[in-house]
Amino acid sequence: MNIIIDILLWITYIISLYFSIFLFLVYVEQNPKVDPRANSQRNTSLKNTLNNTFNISHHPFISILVPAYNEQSTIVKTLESIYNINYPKDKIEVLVINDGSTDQTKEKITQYIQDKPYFHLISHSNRGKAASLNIALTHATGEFFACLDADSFVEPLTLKKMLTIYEQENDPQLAIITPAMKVHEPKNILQKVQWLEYLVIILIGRITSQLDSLYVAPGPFSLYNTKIIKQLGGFDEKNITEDQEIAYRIQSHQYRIKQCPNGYVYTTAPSKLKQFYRQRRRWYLGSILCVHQYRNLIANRKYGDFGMMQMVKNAAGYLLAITGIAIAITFIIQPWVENIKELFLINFNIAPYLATFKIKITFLTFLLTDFRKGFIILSLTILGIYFFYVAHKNANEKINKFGWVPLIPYFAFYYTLKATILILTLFQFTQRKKFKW
Amino acid sequence: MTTTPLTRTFSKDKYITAGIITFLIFALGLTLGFIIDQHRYNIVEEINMEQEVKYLSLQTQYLYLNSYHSFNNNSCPILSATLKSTVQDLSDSLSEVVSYEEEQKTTDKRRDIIMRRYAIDNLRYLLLAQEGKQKCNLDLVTITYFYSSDCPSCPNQGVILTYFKKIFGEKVLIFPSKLDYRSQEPMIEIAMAQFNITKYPTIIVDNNKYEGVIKKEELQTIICNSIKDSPQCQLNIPNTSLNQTPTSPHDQNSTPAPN
Repeated sequence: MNIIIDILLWITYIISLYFSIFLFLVYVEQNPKVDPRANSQRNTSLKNTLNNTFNISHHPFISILVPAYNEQSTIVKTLESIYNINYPKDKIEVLVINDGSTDQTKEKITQYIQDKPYFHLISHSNRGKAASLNIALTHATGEFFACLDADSFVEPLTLKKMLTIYEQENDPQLAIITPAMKVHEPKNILQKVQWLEYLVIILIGRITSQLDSLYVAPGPFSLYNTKIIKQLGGFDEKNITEDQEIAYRIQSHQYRIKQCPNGYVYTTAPSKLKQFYRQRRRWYLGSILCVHQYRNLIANRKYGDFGMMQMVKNAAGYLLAITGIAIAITFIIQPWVENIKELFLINFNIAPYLATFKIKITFLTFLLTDFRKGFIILSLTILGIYFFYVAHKNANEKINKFGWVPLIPYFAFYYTLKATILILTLFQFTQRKKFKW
Repeated sequence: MTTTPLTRTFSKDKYITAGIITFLIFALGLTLGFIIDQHRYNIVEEINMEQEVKYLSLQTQYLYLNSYHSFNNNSCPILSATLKSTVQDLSDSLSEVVSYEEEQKTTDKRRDIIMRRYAIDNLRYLLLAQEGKQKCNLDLVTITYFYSSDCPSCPNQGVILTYFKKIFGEKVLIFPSKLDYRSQEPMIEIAMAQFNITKYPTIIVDNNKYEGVIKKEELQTIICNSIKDSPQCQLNIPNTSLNQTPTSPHDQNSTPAPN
């Protein structure tokens, strides 16, 4: 068993190191500040977006879809953030879909939109988010459309920033612009840890976007090309994560997805562990189903970096998660169980240990560490910290915005928690598979 | 709508560069590992030599004092101090090396030699300690601890022994003897035969054999019976001896076997 864990560890370290270095190389190349000679069209548009020079030549008609199911507490704030979008009011239509809410959502919407003629309410019995979006899509007349979940809020300039990218890329194959998502007003420690995570996701999204390999179009305010989405048949109503499925479908049809690195959208992160578990379980299950559904793209050269790198990485993510758990068990949980067992043996009398406790770090201690593995772990840690730092710089945030405390759980066990949820989800998936396939 | 499919880019150069860098880091790690191995061997060698000299010094002290029949209260403190400090060294520096060597999955000759050395060192210090106890009337307990890596309850005994080492310090000298190496080192076999070791863990406290895991309270009683005066014993014995029957300070699977 130890040998299996050891081999698994080596493979994981090397794969992780390889992908991290690859992402680092891509980041260094695409970062306009690092490479001033980078003068391709893509880099120019990115630079312009980052410099807030978003003077778009014309204002295309935009539809904004807001699916809402029992969101009475946040719906008005969400609609307000749409109302405050910096864009000509005669070029926007807002389609609010009340998906059979059983609370005051419908009344709140009706009251809010009564003096705003470009806001429309569609009401029907509960059918799920994807179906709601598809119904709204049949009414949508915009050249582009965006969805905004009722627990999310958009920054006024985000739409213009996104349209700048559409205009400057000028690519009929460009189907989705994804936002940069931040956590809305994180209050407890779980939300603050997610705040850190989302910033890293923005950076990874930026690098992935450079490789044309984005594989998720986040629910909050992704801007879609209406024609392409309608052509592809809208959202998949059977899929539990329609925002991932649409991205995979776009990729598989050789369309493009780009990230707007500073098109900020704020979303409410789960504040309780149970909600968090449910959310991640849905994401991971959706991801597993998508990778499974589009498995012919894995290592498929026809799909360029997306097939050769992203799909391989997404599939390899399961190995990484399994190893993550193995690491946690061997290095964190097992020693703790041992320690506690030992404490029972001495009736928790630790006074003699404390009395004779000495931190003894000699040259010998240094020599006795496993240097071969240690060196790779050290390199990974340095890269990880570098990405963490760059992620904050990229999103214009201070690392200690919410104090230093959230960094401890983030680095100490947040990824182990995520890996555990992924393993649980994988397990449930294989259980289901027996019945379904 | 154009129907020309997207021309996908494939960052071949970056995959190769990333591969090369990964390999370089990997190779650098391995190389540094080998360099450090060399240093480690040198340091282990030094520790061994130092230990050897200390042992020789101690042995010579005994021989010298023995041959002149001059064991008296003046020379005993020096002997006692040397004994305690060398045993301390043995358990500090060398056991660290030994635990490292045990963790390594590969078996090499050097490792076997280190393990044999450690086993012999422990046994010969045990002999010297017992001699010193007799001749100089030193107030200490020697505990020989026979254990094996395939015994699941052995670590428990190890924890309890460490605990008492922490409490009593220099008054308790523990000599671990790992039976895994008995095929390589005949001295272990001899010690096993002498004490008739049949199960692990077994501890020998001042020539009395106790088989099975000896619990904290029992071991405290045993140790305190052998030590003449120790503040720890005076503090703790009243508590523990209340719920202990002094005649049978062991659980079912441990039987006292005076040797």
